[in-house]
Amino acid sequence: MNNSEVIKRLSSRLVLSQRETRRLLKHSTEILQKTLDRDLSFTIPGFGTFGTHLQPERKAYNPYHKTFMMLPPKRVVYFHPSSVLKAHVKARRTDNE
Amino acid sequence: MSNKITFSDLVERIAEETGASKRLIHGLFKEMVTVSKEGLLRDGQVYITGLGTFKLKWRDARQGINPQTGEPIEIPAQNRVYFKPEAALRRFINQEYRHKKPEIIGIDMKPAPSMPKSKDSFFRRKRVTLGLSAVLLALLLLLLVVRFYLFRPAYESAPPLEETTQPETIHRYKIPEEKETGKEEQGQAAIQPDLSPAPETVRTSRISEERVIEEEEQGQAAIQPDLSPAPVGIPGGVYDVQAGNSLWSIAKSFYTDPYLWPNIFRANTDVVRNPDVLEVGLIIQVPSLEGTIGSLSKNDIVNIIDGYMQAYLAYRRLGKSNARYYLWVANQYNMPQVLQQYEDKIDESDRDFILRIKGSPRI
Repeated sequence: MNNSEVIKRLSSRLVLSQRETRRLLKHSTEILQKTLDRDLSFTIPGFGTFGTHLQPERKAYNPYHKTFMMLPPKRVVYFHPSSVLKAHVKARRTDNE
Repeated sequence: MSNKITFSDLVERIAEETGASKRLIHGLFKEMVTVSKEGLLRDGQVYITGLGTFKLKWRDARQGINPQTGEPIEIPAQNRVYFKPEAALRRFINQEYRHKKPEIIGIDMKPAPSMPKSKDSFFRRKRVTLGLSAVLLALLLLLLVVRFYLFRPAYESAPPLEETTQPETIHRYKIPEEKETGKEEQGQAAIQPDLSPAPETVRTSRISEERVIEEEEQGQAAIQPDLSPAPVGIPGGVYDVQAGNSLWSIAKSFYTDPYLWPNIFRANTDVVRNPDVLEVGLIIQVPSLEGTIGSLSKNDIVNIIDGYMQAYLAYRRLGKSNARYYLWVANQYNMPQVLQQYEDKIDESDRDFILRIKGSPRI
């Protein structure tokens, strides 16, 4: 499901115009991004927890150069699905595989 | 561990930002969760701009261990949710590390002693191949140097070999001194048949270079004797780069020994940035040699070391990992007083690398 379909469904559920829904969602995700950037984690009830952790600088083998490389540190976003979400999607879908 | 912000704080902030009621934002998230679940169940995947993609993956049943009691438990086959943050989000939160790039840290031998402890055989195999390639490279270089040191005296002691390997350029360069152009043609004609058994490729390239040299000679017949300071030795000159030429081939045609190409590079560092790339039409200065191949004078050797150091610095600047081998060759001449002037330009890791090669003189 792509973003435009998400917005379409959201607007019908919230009884808002698609334009307004898009604006709200955009601002919301912007603030979520800023929150993550400030090293804060948050939970969306019924969905899961978002947060970041720092992946420190590490040494890795580069098979192309056939040498070791020092990879710079970076921050990684994690998402832990809540137990509600996990239970909801647990069952095998009929068209899956 | 990062601090948490409560959901209600988050909703409050978003409500402030958008001007919408908190109630609406609560509803927005609630519906977003519902829609996402629908999408996950329908397509197995949901993309939300600003966050990323949520994906379902089917995981087969597997054995697990209860971390509290330590007893094995069966984890049933199930769908798991995986989240991949979108590229813009990854970029956004990594702004402070944006300037950092992966760096090659070379063949690092230091972690080797601690490595055997790990059971990771894959890693050990990699180390073996690394070691093997280092040994192979060292062998190649040894061959290069053996050629320098052993075969050169052999040239002197075996005159017939010298006749066949030394092209007629030397003979012909002596001729302008005598100023007998008529004899040159005859001499060349007499030598030409001797060269015919030589491999095809060598011959053709040599002939094409001869033509160029001949043209030059016509123009510079008067200047040529001045350029060669000593009566013995190999005169230099200027060379007009043709398509297909390299410093290697030019060194071969002027000096007969292509391994002396850094001597040419040294004199042309202002026009040749990358020793591997020559522009067609470039005028290359070829320095003369005081001695001959096999008995180079001390000044020649100093110049050649200088050339190898210039090659090392050039390759180093270009970021080539094999640059250190040129440093090694320069070092093999065992004249530390010449290398002294490059003392502060030599990279520490390269110096270490050279010192680890057995039999290397100290830099």
